[in-house]
Amino acid sequence: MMQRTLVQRIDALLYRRGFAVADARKLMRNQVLLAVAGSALACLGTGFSGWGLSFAAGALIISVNFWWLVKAAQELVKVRHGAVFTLLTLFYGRLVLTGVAIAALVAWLGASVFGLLAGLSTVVINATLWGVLQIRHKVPVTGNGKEA
Amino acid sequence: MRKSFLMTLALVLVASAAYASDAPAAGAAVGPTAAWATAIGMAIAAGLCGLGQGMGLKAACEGTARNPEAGGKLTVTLILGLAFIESLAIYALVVNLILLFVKPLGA
Repeated sequence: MMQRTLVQRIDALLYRRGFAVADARKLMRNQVLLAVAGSALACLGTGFSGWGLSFAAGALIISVNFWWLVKAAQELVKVRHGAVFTLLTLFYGRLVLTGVAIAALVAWLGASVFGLLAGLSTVVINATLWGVLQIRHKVPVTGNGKEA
Repeated sequence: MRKSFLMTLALVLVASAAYASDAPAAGAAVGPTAAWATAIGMAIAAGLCGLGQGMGLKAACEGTARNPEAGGKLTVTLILGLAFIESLAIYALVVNLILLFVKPLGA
């Protein structure tokens, strides 16, 4: 019950933030849950070690990155007049910020690169899980196709 | 197009190797070589990921223009594709930063 409420709250928040496409909203919600759960597990499981904190940092960076990617992708397929500059700024600003954050973590803060890579991989895990679940939930085609 | 790209790539690789061999000691050559490797690696990764993202976006826009009702499904597929491709670019960035700053190949 509590889990359902949490999911509904996240969905409502995402809808208010402009995630109009239902499946995109679900993807983003799964990413948020995966990043938070993974970071909590990594930090608590390793006793807030460098690896765990690096994982959390990587998960945070890639989740913010994914947030803006989803928002941009929703608009990109139906670009309205005058939205191009905003979209470009969002797209490249996001990339620059991601690059600077990763560079700062690796070069100056001495983050664990394996932890960082594991955190950055949460989005790949999310997308792969989504694809696998979509294939599994696909309704099998009945008949032999000769009806058409 | 492909021939000129391969020739440019070969020239860059040969030039970097030649510059590296000019260095007096083998240890000192690792730094510039790593810098060249990261620059070329990031350029290749960014270029190819850009090509991939552009092709995906082009296909999604064409699909939405032909069948606007399928826009929602296309958007989700586009997001997944963009996320996968961009992850590759980010991995390349991390590997290049490791080469530059962590220096696993030596100082």
